[in-house]
Amino acid sequence: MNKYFLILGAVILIVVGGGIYRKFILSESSRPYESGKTVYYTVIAERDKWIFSPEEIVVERGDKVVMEVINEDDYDHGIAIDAFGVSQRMPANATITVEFIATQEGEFPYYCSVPCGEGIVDGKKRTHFDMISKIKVKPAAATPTLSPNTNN
Amino acid sequence: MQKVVLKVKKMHCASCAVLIDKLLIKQPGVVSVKTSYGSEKAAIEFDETKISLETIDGFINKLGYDLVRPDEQGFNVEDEEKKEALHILEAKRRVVAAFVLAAPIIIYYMLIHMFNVTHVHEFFDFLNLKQPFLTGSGFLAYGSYVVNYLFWIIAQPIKLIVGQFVDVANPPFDIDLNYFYWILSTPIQFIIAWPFYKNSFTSIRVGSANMDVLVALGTSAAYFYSAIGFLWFNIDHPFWESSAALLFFILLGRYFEAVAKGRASAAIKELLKLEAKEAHVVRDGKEVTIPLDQLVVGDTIIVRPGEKIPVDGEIVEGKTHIDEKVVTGESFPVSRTVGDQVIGATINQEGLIRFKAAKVGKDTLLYQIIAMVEEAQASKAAIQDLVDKISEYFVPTVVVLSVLTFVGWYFFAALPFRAGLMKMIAVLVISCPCAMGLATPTALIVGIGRAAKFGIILKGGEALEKAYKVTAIAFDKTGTLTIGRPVVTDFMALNIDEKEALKLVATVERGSEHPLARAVIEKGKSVFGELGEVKDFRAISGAGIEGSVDGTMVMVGNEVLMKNSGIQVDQYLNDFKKLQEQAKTVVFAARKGSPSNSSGQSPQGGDWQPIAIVAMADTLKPFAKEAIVELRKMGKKIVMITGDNPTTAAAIAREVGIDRVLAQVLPEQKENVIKKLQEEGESVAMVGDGINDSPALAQADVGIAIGSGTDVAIETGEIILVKDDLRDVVTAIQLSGKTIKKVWQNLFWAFFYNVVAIPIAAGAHLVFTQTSLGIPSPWVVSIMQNWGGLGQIFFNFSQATLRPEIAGFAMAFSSVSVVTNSLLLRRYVPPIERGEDITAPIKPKEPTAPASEVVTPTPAPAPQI
Repeated sequence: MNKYFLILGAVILIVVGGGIYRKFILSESSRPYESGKTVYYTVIAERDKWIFSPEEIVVERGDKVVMEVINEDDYDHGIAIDAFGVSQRMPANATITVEFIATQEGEFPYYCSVPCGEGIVDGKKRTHFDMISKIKVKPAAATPTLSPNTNN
Repeated sequence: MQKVVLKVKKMHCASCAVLIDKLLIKQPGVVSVKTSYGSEKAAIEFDETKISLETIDGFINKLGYDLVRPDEQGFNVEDEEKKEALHILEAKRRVVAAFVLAAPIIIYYMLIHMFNVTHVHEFFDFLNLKQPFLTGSGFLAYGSYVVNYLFWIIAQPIKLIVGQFVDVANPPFDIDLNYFYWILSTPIQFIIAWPFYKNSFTSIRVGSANMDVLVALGTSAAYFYSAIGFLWFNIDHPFWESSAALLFFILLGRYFEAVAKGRASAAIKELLKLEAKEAHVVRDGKEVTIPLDQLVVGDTIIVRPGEKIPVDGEIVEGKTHIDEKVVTGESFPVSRTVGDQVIGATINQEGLIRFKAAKVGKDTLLYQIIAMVEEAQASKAAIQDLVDKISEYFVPTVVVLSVLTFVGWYFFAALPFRAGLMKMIAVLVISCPCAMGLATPTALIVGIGRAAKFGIILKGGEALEKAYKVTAIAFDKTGTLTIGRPVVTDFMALNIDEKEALKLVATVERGSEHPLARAVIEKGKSVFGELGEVKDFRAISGAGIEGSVDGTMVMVGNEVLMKNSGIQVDQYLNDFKKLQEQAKTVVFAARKGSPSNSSGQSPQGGDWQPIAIVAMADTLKPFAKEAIVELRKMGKKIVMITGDNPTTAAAIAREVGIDRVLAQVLPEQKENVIKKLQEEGESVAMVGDGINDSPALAQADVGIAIGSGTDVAIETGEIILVKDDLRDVVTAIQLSGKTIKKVWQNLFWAFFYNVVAIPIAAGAHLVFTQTSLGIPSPWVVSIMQNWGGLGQIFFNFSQATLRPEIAGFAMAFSSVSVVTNSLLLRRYVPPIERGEDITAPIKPKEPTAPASEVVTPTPAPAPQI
């Protein structure tokens, strides 16, 4: 028996199982939700501070988030949000735009994903590893149909 | 039913052999197939009434390989060698090309990841780098300082050159460095590393998931993720270095292997070289010289002294001594006369003989030995590379895990498709350990190099991988355990000063060409340096010699000669017999007259008086005994195989402490003895030196050839003991064990980081570190609050999936630990080199265990052991 048939079988089984789970078992509240609303934010990687500011962004579940990410440094950074599959490079002294839909509730770190050194900021040592901020996704304010307010 | 061993061309990986075996056996009429990738041979047994060789050939052609049928046999040694050299050259070219292309990528990314260096991905920014200054303290600060300095140094000359064309300070355009990396890694991935894809395809056809598949899978994932991600999605972190470094390291490993690999075909080449090229034949009453292939059975062939006997036959005229050592292993030249058999490739020493050819061409003993070596090599099961073995399980696991990861993120956590896809790719990319390709070759190269230092040549890693598993060791006697030529073992002077006796005997022997005479001459030379002249020399056929030395008549010969000459030796017969019982060749020496006699008395006068008993034998090599003792201590079964007679065999065995002896084993039976041991479940090493040992060397799990042996044995053996010191067998086995331990350790270090990184890449740890998506678990929060800075770091890592730092760290450190670990092997010093008396801890059992069991097999069946 060719090993690859077994692998293929296992893969099909897993994918079908996952599909069934999402279609029939996943609770209504856990399903990805899109409100159709778009929110805009500006995130700045401050010059030689190893920080994303603001350190916390609050959005509502279902919002489409459009982030303008500014790198003030002379070197590269990156921005990654695991949960929403975001991982973008931030070239030196440049601005990029990151878009995703916050389909799930929770607190999601967004962090620098490109090694960017370390330094002393206000007497405290900060490094690439400290360059983490948070996106808080709150429950949707209202049912989708009752949320007419869109862009801010 | 027909059985053939044929060459198969165009095999490019071990799976090819499996593919041929698997598919060919399904053909009706094919009874058994065993293909060996290493020796490029297939042993096929088939029913010729059901399937023809042409059909089999056609079938193999369809698979993409080429079977060389006997009728198209163009076996050409030069072609073989050319192909071999080409193979190594190609491997080298690939490594060099991969290095040139991959070096910038590997150096750039590895350094950045290891030291957390600030960097830019833009060409002109890179050129405009300012001279760095140290910004802090600690490992990372110093590291990044050095790295930045390196980058700055590299940038300056480029800046100068580019500055000729473009204003570097104010560049008119941007060039992303990733374009360079993309251009560099594409040819590595698809041209230089194409064999991995080719081999993977074959492997997948036979249902095997070997290392090639793992490499193709991991590097393809890395390459396509990087290329597509960079060109279209502005991804933060292309994995160029993952694909480039991995392929470079593995190609390097393969090159090492190619260089170290012994040439299986070389043994055959040596065998063919042995053959006499021409023969002098009597045709129509005239002597003509013709090439060997024109000989026919029944030809009368003339062989002069010093010439090789061309084919097997029977002497019809003449008398001679023939050195048959190369074929039979017999230490002394044997006397042959009318009616006796002669064997091709042996050397006629003295007389001119004529013999009738009985076997020519492929029927000769030499060709039978060639066939045996070929078959043994073809049927030898290649050991599977450890990495391949691991890959067989690792590849399916990784594939399933990556799909699970996708399903977990996309279906279960119900996150965007992109999130699931990214994690899935991350799992595939991180799964292929960069250092995997180096784990085995580096350890083997260091092991082989170390062995060479101690005079042990290892042909490729396979011998090293098998030697430590050996449970039984078979020794050939003549030339292996013993020196292989007679030496004087006892010299007993009778009623005369020993030195004077030796001088007389050694000098008179100078007249003789007999090998025993050489032993005495050597002994004499070792004492006196130069020896005098001998006059009136006369050989007494079959009995001895006589001659005059400085006016003294000296006679050397057996007891019969003494008695016939009226010399009284009865009182010495006891000593004489005792020496004979020890399987030694013993002679008397006698003299007549005295050189010191200056009274004018005729030197011819006086009576014969015995002056010495000389015993000669083929003796043990130095340290043979110590080696055997040590091997026994290691729990190995020791067997001695010899073509010699049981008495001699038993004498040697007793001396060296071997209790399993097989005497009078015909050359073609030696291989059977090994087979038999293997059937008993032993993993057998064969130590030998003669042509007659070659099939056994090929059949054994590990063939060990003695450096002073024949070329064929050396070419057939996988391990060669250059120093001729049998204790090196012990060293080879010990070093093999050490090396294999290193290989395992290396594989552990190679896979360890990656195995740890896989769940992180998959985000599996989030299940434990977060209560629900995005909400850290209380225990993680408490660690963050209580452990200070360290807690914060832990927290940060625990909340994210695979960060490029982890990937880079895994890659760099697994490679470094593997190479370092291999280099540690250089510190190994074998016990004998440390000057330890390896025999000291054990008392030889000799007094109690001389009860050697000597088995003399009847000629027909394989010897019983």
